[in-house]
Amino acid sequence: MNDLGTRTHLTVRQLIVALIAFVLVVGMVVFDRRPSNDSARDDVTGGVALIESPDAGSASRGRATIPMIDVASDDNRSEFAASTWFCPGVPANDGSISGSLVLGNRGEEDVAATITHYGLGVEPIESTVSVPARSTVTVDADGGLQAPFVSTIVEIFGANGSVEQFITHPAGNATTMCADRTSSEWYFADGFTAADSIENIVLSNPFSDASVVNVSFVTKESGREPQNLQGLVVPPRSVLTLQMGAQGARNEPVLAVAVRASSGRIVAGRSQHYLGQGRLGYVMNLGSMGLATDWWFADGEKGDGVTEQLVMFNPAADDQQVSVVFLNGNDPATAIEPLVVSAPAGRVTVVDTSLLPGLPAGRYGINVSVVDDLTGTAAGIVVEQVINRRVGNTVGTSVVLGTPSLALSTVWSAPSGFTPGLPDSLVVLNATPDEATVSIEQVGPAGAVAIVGFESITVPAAGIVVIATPPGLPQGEFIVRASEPVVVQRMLSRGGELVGRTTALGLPHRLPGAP
Amino acid sequence: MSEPREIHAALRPVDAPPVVATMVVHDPGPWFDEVVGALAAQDYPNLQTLFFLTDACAEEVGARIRTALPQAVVRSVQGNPGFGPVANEVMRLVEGDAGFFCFLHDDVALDADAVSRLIEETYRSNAGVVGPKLVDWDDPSIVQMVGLDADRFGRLDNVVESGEKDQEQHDAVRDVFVVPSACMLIRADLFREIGGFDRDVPFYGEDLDLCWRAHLTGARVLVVPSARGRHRGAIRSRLDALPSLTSIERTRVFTVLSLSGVMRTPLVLVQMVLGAIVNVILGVFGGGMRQALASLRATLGAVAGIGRIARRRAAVRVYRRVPSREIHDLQLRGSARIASFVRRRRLRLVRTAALADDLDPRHTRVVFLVSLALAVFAVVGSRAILARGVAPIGEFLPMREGSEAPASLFADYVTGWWQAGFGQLAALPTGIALMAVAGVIAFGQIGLLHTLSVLGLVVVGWVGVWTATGRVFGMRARIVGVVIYAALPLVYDALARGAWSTLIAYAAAPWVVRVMTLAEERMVGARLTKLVAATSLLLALTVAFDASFVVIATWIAVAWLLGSIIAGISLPRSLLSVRLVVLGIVGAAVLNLPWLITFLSDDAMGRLLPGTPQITDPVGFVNLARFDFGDSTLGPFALLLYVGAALAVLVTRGVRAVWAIRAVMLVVPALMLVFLIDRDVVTAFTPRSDALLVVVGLGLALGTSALASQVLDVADRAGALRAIGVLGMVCSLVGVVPAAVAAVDGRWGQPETTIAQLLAQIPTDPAEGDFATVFVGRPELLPLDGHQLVDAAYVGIADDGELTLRDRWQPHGEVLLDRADEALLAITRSETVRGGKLLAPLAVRYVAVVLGNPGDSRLRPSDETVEADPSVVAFLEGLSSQLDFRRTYFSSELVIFENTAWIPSLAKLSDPSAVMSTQAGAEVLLTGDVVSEFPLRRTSATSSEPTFIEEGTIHLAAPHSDRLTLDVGGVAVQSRVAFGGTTAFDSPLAGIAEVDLRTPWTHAALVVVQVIVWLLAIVAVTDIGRFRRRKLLGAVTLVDAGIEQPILRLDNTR
Repeated sequence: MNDLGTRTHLTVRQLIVALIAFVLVVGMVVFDRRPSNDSARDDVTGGVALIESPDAGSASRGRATIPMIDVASDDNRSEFAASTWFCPGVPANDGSISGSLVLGNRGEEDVAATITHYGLGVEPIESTVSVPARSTVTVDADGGLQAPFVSTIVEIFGANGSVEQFITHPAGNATTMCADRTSSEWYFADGFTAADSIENIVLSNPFSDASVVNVSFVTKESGREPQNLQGLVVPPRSVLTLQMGAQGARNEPVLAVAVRASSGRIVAGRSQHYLGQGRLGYVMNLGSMGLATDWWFADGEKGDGVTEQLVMFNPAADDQQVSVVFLNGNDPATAIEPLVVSAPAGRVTVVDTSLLPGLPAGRYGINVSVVDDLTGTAAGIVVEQVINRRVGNTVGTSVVLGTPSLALSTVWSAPSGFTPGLPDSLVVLNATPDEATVSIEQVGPAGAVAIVGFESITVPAAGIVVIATPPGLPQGEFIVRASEPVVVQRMLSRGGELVGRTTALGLPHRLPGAP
Repeated sequence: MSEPREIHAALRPVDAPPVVATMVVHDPGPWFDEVVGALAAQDYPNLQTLFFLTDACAEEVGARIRTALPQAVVRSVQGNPGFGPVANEVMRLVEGDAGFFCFLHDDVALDADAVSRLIEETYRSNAGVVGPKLVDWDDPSIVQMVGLDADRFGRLDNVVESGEKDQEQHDAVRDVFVVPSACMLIRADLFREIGGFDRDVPFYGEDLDLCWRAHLTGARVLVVPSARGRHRGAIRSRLDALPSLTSIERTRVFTVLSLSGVMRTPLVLVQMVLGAIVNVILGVFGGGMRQALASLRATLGAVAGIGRIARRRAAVRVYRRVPSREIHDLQLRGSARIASFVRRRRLRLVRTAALADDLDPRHTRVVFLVSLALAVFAVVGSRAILARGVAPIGEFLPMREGSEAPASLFADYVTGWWQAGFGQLAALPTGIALMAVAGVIAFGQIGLLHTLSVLGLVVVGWVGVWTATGRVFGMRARIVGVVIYAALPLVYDALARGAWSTLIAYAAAPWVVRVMTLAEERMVGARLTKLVAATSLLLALTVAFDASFVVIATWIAVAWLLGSIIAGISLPRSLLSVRLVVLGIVGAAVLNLPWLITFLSDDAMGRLLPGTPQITDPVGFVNLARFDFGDSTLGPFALLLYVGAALAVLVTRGVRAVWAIRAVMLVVPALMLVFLIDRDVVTAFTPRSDALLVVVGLGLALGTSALASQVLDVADRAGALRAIGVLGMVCSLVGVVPAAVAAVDGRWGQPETTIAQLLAQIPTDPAEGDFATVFVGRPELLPLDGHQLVDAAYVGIADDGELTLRDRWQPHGEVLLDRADEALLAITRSETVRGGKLLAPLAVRYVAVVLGNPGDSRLRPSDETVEADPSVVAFLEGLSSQLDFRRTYFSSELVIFENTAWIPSLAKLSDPSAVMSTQAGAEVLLTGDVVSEFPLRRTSATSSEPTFIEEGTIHLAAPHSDRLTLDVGGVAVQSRVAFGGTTAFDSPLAGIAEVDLRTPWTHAALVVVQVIVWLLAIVAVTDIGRFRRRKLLGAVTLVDAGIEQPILRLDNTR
């Protein structure tokens, strides 16, 4: 090879170098005009966009709007990993009402749990309990604090813990999910202050910082944003209770509530004591931590003495078309025409299924979805199901929040278990077009063991199965495992001689790979 | 001309006066055979030859001499003391005065009758010293010298112009003031009387000094043009250490002041001072600035050598027989420089070579004016920074009188406790010691030092480009390269966002090229050692402040190698540069060794190849190529910077084409990698994009410089190619527009409001106790050299108080850092809501999440505002969900959370907490509260104010070490591990307590060894042997046996 340093003319080598450099640069320019192949980055950055506030708008994106048991990272959790549950609160100034927390440990090792009780105007109390392996522990929910409502933070070290809140009320016991996180937005589709029924929105701030929230509500006639509910400060480590009747929503048969935090995050629950106009009993619900475009209900029912309402709240700025599909399997003979209704912006839409002539009597699953969500831009709605079961002259009212699509799971559990001996202890909805099999396990000293006879139950595609459990089963955490994503609802006794049943969702598990 | 020949023919050997031809030989080339052959061919009948060989000569040189001149006496000399001192040995080795000494350089080939003609003329004119006409070695028709004239200031004037044809116009015998030592014949008795050459002058100036002293004795000094010698004159390529310009000037001044007459000396001195000042002023506008400055320095420095001058004058007085007035008459009237200038103007010779370009005052004026413009550009663009100091943004952490005082830095360095992160007993970064040294050099002017450490790097980069092209291109081409390098918007972007690492790369990269060009000169021995040492020091200095530059240096070396191979340079020669860089890296590692041990952690690759986290859509190829990431309106002009380098590949020829191809190899691959990183095609373990862009910019500067050299340095100035070259240069020079615009605001776009100002709300030394602050953010936004937490989220940890430059270095792989990382990861993954409790034993009180720099708009498209990385946002989300963190500040750039569960870094624990501290594990922390009863005030990282304590447990949020002790009332309490990693002291008694650290002797020994290694490297670079050689001047040591007695005689008895 000759040294260029001795040449006095243009060499082939120079030409080749120039040509290759030119081609490479042109190649880069051409490649640069192609869109980035890193869609993941685009997706993520599209999600965060401009940072205006570390809290705003972040609560619901990419996560289910109901609590889930996070087992996705079991394998690579750090030693610091804990599952933290924020229970919405129990009344603690009424001797006739008591509350408890049920802590479940599905794991093979005992775990410690720290319980922090806090309320308005009282010093938080912190205590530690040990939850033995494969068992549940029930503790007092108010921790001895005297306050209108006492909320609780339960930190269970390890990944196998879950918590539910249980209220013993003269008007009916209420089993309530605890939130797996705090949120800056909460929605309640249903609300009821007619016949002097008492509805309390319970706002809990577990943090060391005060939160500032804006509360608005929608009645049958209009939406309202009372000035005194704007910029409402929820002090740190305290619980604020809003009695909706006293906030200008007296005697309202329709009352949806939206709570949005402009600073900080909170936990919001609804304590509802029904006193008439077709509703009786007591329920305590956790709000929805955001909007969703698909909602699933496992236990729809039409029949004598049963009235069912689907209450849809559209807090968004645009009207949305909503499709209501009743699911009872893929058998064309039993197929029911979907119902399409309009959900006006900022209003509540109520669908009374007992008034639908085409809907046959019996049990069915329900899917409520926003129709024009093909673009993925629909804001979504919140849907709750209200069932009043009449026995004789009395009524038992039960309200349950739907399950969003992001919460569909193949594993469900609940530390407080179900009420054995009922003909409809569990109702499972298969949310897929494929047939599924489910098994029901109970967690006991031997771990999670399938209940005899419930090892493999077939659930038809897009159908439901109502499971009657035998009486005498020990009370404890249960686990439903399915071959396809399902929704699991429990029928629970209301306690004492009260008629009807109260409905509660199980807790879906967020499995590896799930959002 | 026939008469002398006849006289010569009449001489018999016994009648001819003896002549000893003395030659000092130093590392000669193949042409040396011609030199010796010419001596062998002399027709003079009584000529003896004496050769002195320096160390650099191989044995075979002696053999070559003996082959041609079997009777030659050959002696070896230790080292290379210089021509004059060695030549003086002739007085010892030759006996008798009845003859002549003919001193010769080893690159002079005399015509066969040269010595004869010199002798003839000596007798004819009764001369004491005579010299021949010297002509060009390769082209004997070009005259080099016919003696030299000198003015009263000792400045020589060659009456022959460069490239002047020999048309016998100088062939008259005439008196001259100086005969060059290249070939000089002198009467032996005269030589002995005046003591030979000045022993203190190794090279340059010895002939002036000798001839002047010959004049003082009344001897004539003549040039005999009929005697001719070819002179090669390339001694610079063969000498290890050439005397500097200042040294040459010093010799001249010394000669003038010691040989001028008593009455004239003061006047001459004043004239020299005034003349030097005038020359400096003239040099500003007319070139020759370096020489003028050297002259001024030498003249003023003569005061220091007054003793030596006095001694010399006393020695000369013995043979001073001619009045100084007569000597003065022999000298040129006026100035030799002016005489030379007038003559040049008259002749108007056309110059063609690059070196001639350097000598042309018109060109030096251009270069000076461009340099002046660059200086003005730098000062104007930095005026606000110069006035108010560097804004504390990004990596530009401030230097403070307290924390960065040399004494404080030295003390910490010696103590061995590295108080970065949570502190650790480990070798401190070498950069801290270098900062201390710099502080001493700056006489403690810390603020000035800080400004220089930022702005100075830019200038160092410019000088680097100038130097890197120094041996190849002419001055004007070199200054073009400097202008292109200065025009890179990248560097002003770095100044705007506080990217110190980028500036370091910008400053150091050209010097890597510089040492590689030197490596190609096949240096051996001391020169190679010096070069390796210099490379090691260069890389060590750089690595001490930015370890990842090692990768950039390697990248440059590999690109250079590929370019050389493509250009057809032989592989062995091409590998020389890579070998040097590899050796330099090894040397740099050794020089930084104690600190670099801390690199032996899992994330070593991540630290050396940190990559550039991509946070938005790709910046885009064009925006990257513009060096401003699409941020400037006039940014597209910067694309013109590529035109020159691109055209250089096609337009340049010869060695310039080699450089053009190397430049392309610097530009294209680096640009490709930056582009692929930007497109996320290459993600892991990549160099930083901005550092790679520095390589691209360097390639552009060198390529354009090659093009400019082709256009400006080459004589052929016609044709289309030249037109294309000129067009390329013009286009490239238009590319400076964005840089010029960047200078307008006077602070290079540095924001008025900085993160540091926002951080000022975090308290300093509060009464409630010292604490640590965790910084989380993208690495280029963090004020510290953080480590990766997850994806683009990096973590840095600092003590309370203002962040200063010493906080830049962060430890890696330390146990408490790992503990903190685990907690922070758990927060990010929402695995816990009690991150505050987990961080409490580490005294973490604040977590600052940096979302952006105020004014920052780099590394992302210009149409977006502050945007945070998803991983940082995830951390922020997790932090917002923590039950024990309270948000104390929020803006779009910064969010600060306070940990409500923190405890002071040095505190007495409550009894339950003391019990807790004996256990480890997350559950312990999460199920209880760590509570301090009261803080103890720390006076340094490992010491505290004496404080009274009751018995109990004192906790220090620092990694456990047995070297940490607690003195309680004179009783030393040993430390124990607390919370699985920190340090606690269980004091069984009450009393005045004080924490202290006992430095391990191994650390002190390591520091001493490191200092020695650095000194050795510096000695190797500065060539301390030079001083040794100077000391030994006049004491030439011959290595041959039997040298004590004379071995040659000057008489006609043989």
